[in-house]
Amino acid sequence: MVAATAFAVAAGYTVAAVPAHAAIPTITVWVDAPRLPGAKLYAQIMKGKVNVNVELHAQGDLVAKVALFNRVKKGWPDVVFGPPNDVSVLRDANDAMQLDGLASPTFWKDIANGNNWCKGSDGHYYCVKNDMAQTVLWVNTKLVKQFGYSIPKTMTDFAAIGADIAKNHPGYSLGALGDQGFYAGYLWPSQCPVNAATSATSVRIAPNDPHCTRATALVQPMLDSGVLSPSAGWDADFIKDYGSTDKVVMTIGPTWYGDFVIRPASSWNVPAGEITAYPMPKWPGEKVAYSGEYGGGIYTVSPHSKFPKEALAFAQFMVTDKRNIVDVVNPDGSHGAPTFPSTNSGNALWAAKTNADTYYSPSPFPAMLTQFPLIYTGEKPVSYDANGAWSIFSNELKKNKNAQAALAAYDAYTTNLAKQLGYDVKQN
Amino acid sequence: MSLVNGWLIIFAMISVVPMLWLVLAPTKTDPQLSNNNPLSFGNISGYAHAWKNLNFFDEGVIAKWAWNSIWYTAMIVIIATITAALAGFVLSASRIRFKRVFLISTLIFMLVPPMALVVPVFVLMDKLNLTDNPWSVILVASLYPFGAFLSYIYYSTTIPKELYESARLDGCNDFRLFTRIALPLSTPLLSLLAFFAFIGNWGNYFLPYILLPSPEHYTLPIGLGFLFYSTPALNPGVGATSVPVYKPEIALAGVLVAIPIMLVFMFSQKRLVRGMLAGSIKE
Amino acid sequence: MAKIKKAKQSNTAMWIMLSPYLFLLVSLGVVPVIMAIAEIPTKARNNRNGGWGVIGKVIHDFRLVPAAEHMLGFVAIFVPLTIVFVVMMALMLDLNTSKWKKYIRVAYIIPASISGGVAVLVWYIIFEPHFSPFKPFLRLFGIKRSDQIWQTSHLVWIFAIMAFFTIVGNWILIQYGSLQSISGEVIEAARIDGCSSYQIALRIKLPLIKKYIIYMAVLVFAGGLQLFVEPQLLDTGVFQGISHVWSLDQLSYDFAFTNGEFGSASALSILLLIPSLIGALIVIFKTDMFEDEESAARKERKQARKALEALEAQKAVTK
Repeated sequence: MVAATAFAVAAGYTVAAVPAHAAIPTITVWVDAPRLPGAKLYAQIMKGKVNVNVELHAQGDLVAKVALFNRVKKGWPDVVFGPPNDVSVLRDANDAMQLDGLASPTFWKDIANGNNWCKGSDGHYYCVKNDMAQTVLWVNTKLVKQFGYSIPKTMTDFAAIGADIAKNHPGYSLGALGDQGFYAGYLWPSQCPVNAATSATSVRIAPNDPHCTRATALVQPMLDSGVLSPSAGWDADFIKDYGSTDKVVMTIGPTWYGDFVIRPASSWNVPAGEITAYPMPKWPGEKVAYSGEYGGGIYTVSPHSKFPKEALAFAQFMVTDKRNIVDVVNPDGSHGAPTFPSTNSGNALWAAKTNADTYYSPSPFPAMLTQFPLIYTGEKPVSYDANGAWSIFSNELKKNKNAQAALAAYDAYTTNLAKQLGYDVKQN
Repeated sequence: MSLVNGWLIIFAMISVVPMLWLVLAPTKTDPQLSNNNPLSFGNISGYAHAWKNLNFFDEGVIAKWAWNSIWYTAMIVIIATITAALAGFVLSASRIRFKRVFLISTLIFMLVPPMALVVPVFVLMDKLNLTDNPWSVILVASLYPFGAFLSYIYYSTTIPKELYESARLDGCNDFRLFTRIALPLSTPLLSLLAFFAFIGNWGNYFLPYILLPSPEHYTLPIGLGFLFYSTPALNPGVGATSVPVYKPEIALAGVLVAIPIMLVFMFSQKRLVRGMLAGSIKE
Repeated sequence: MAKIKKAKQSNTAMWIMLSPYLFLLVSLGVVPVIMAIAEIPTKARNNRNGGWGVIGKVIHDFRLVPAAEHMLGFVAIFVPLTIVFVVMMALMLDLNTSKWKKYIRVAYIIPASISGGVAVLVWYIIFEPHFSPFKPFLRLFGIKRSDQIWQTSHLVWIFAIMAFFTIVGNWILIQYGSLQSISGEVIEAARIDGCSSYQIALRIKLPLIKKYIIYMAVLVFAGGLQLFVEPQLLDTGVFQGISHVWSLDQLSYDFAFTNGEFGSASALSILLLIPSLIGALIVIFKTDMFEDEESAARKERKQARKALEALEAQKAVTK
């Protein structure tokens, strides 16, 4: 024993006061395809210190599998990447633990701007936001110059541009409202109570609130004239009519819209040098130009985890470490994290990458940074599938072309879903 | 008559077009799929290219999915065919009690919705420590009531009871009844049972999806569904990612699922025609 | 004494040969069904004190009636369409045999290899006016944009067509096969009597395969009720939210896996079993498929004779 210790010291290993057969911590990590390269890199970096099992899962699969794990009381992964509402669903299923004590105050300060979504009504953090999908105003500078528009600072200006396009440049578009487009780009920034949860059992869903009716009233004329489309930006119809023909003058969309909808060859395929982003226009009477959010995944740690600190350390790596944010190699040859990081340190690193991207002219990063702390915090995580229900809104919109009626239909459906889950729903 | 024949041919052409599209799709690139004629031929290297792109997804897990599909289905077909053939033989040749109950049970258990059984089966498998183990799927899928029923009909119509009686009088025990009398006549039945077991299980989605949480245990059909909502191929809003899997790649995955079934169909359709419901034919 | 002993012995061997199947049947068939029923009154988020009242909660869930309506619509289109088409095609194939008919039959089963996720992909393409190989056909109907087809109200038809094409080829071959089992003498006798091919098809062949048609109808119906994979994949991977809890099976899945309400899921799936069971009872008692083989053959000959006699009687009247 003494000889072994001496040898270990001589060889440069520190002698730990644990028995030789103690295992290093093991964690199981579930991520989706875009996060996989970063996760695998982390597993490599941590070799010898922490055993990191990386498993690829689709974002939507987690909740189903957790239900089964809870049934047999085993098998939960330690840290999981999932869609934003997962924090509510998993808390209900007792599978999201309070994270405050698991990381240093420095980290929580770094992510303070980005982690509001993850703050529970008790003021504690239950998840870590991976990336931010705040809405910004994407602008086609070529078309704007061609038509002689100025960048709208208010939603009234935006609507005026819409009216002008309808009159003088028919066939051009200000974007698509399908999927969560209308919610994230208009209702949420307007502070309309769509999923305004005040606790785990109480939510306000009020389609007739003035914040909602002003949004539907604003888009209605543009829907009527065809300047706004009820499809989603990636629907084959929209791509054919406006996207691939470079007919979208400007549109309110999330930070990932540029790289994943506007740019790809199989999507809009807008030529380089035309696209940039500006801050959100303000709603009338507001002092702040709020953003909505369209996605932005989260990491949750399971309370059944044996190594919660190590589990959270993985999430910290993904949102702050240069090796993930800038360096990691993705399958399509690109480098770094694909979307706007949630921490101050993270997005500072990401800025250099985006600023150097010659596709955009000028860089959309400043607008993204401006809107980063301005996501309206009235919308909260809920346990019913509020996001999947937006197809009801789109269907109604396509049928009747009336935005307020479609919103009412959506709200009626989510109200039923919420009540069925035991929520107390305030409709005023 | 020619009207009838004409319609038969037209429906045959309609039947073939979708598969034709599927097989031709990986030869084209994604823009070509949108812009060129849907039934045009791109470039044979498209298949290699699409396969390479598919392998970017989780470092080539698709090869594992293909292998899983092959060996799970093979095991299921073997176990299901043997157990069902034996069961049908017993039901047709023996004098055990509850025969009619077993027979009716084949129909009943074919109707039970898999959704009802999935959680109990999951809990059962957990008690047997078979969670996330392919054998859980193999065992569950090997229950083959339809096969038992087919087998019963086949043996009942092919082998007259008198044959068993005389063999018994000659001193044959029941095992020999099977090996000496039934088994030699079983080739058409066994291939029929294997056929239905194969096509029922190669494309099975729901059961393996629930019982096998790890992607490395997925089969091709589950993998295909996984690709649907993990890649931008069909819905960029859902799967915004930096993995280059688009429609040609998804079509290639679809080809891997569909072609084996198609080939098995084409080579076995004669046996189907020989009449399974009505027993063997005296042609 | 010796005879009784022998009888006992032979049964043991039979039970042993039956045992693998029996083992699977009991452990993976019967036991799970019992567990599923026992699952219903367990405690869950929507059934905090447990109990069978959860069945009422399931029936009153606001998504049940729409899903049930979808399924009724789907089954009302899919089942008759399939049955009629299959029988018609099988009879047509059997009208006269020619060499090329063999190749035609092969063509019919090709769509059957396209099911589940592959079906969603292929049918998405077929119904997408921009990609479809049937573009000219769609244009005939004035369909130029994808949202003319892909709307929730059209899903009943879309899924019915998808399901139809997947199974129709197989069943055509199976029913064609059962037509082959009709004894040639009966057909010859009718032909000698002057019946046309069409009359033979409808008056003689059709009644003789009636029980196989009923069996097919029950299986098609039961299978149709359990529609899950296609709407689920369409919803999660293609048009998010278009068919979220569209079918009853999807609703059951949602109970189980979105909210962990396994009792509700179990209750709903077992409720789904009831219509199928009724169909099964019809097959068992109205056909002879689950009877002794000899009486079945006897019934068949009786039926054929009756059909021939009826035809003769009709001829006698018209003469």
